[in-house]
Amino acid sequence: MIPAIGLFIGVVLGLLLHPSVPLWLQPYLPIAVIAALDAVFGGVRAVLDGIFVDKVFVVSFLSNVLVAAFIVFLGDQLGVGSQLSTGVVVVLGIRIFSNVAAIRRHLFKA
Amino acid sequence: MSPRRVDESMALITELREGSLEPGYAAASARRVAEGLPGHTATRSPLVVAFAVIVGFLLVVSALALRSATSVVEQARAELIGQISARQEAGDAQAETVTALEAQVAAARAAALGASGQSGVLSQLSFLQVVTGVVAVSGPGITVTLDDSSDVVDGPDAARGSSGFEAGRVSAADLQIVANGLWGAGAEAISINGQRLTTRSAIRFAGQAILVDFRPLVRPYVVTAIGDAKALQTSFGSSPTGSYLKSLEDNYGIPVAITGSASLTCPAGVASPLVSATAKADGIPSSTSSSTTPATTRSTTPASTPSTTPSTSPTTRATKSSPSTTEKRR
Repeated sequence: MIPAIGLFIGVVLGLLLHPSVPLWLQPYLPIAVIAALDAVFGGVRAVLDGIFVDKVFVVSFLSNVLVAAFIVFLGDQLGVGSQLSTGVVVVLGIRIFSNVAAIRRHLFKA
Repeated sequence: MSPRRVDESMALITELREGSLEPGYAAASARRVAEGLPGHTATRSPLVVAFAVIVGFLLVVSALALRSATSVVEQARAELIGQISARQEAGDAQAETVTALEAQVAAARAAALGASGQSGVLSQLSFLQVVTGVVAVSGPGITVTLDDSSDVVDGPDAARGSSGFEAGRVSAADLQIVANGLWGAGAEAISINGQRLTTRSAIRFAGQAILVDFRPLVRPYVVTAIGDAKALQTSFGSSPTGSYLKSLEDNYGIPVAITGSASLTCPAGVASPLVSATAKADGIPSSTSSSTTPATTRSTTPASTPSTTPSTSPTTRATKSSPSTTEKRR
């Protein structure tokens, strides 16, 4: 519950501050969001499984975002940025889907 | 040897689906249990809350930043479209001014030449205007209408356009062949979609668009040729161009329609000023030197057969449809 309130506070902060993202950072945003969502759903599933450990959540979140950003950066340097981004989105997307499916099984037993 | 798993070939997908939860959670939980701690921590630790705030912030910032990125693109696009249409309007207005001024010039010139009794110059001028295509002409002739094949127009790629060349599209080369075929069949004046072919016209490709006199055309492509309608139709139909069009229709589904008409109009073309070329004193063909009266009657003998040399070809069927509104600009 409290993390959900934190999430809401973050949303409100973002809306109020409305920071302008520098142009060079913008290609990394979509991938960072997907990576963050993957970490969040993984954390929720771990809570429901009863094996949530806060350190693992934070580390997985940070490493997901950093690795995703690094892959996009590397792809941009190699000239295959969009292909690598697609790869990242596919892999993380599958993970998000199966984590959400597990959460759904936990919550609705279906 | 253990039996092959049935889904062995899908190891990657299986790994992704079954190992979707961070293995770190299970490992860390087991370690904590081994140390005698509970297998999970509370979700309300400051670290987790702080990262929840960060995640929310990240989501909103990304959404705002990426949405404004697209709107920037759209703004630039709208601005460019606005510039294009503004300049087109300015260009059209200037063209109208030019037309009005040229009418004045023509009237003044006719008055001056008529007053000084130099009607020979006047008739030579009007003859040159007709053969160079700087005045609108009308007369009998044929129209050749080409269109992109319906496969291309209604096909899946029609809406977004294709970057590559498609066989079902009318190409600039097709129009070039048609125009050449019509000249060869004895056409006296040709316009394509209202763009008159003058002595300096070019039909060319720019990306997907066909340009005539640097004006882009939109389909369907209507080639209007003025000349003896019956003779044009027969000799054009039996020429290599006719069979070329037939093969376009048969092989690529490009619809081609050739119709004769008693009265067609070719609009005036734009005459570009000649900068480097100057006329030789004895090189100007005069109307009186040719065998037929230029640009007026259509009762003369068929002297304007394709065999006549183009440079002095008298224009018998194309008649000026309007007073001289366009003149060579200097």
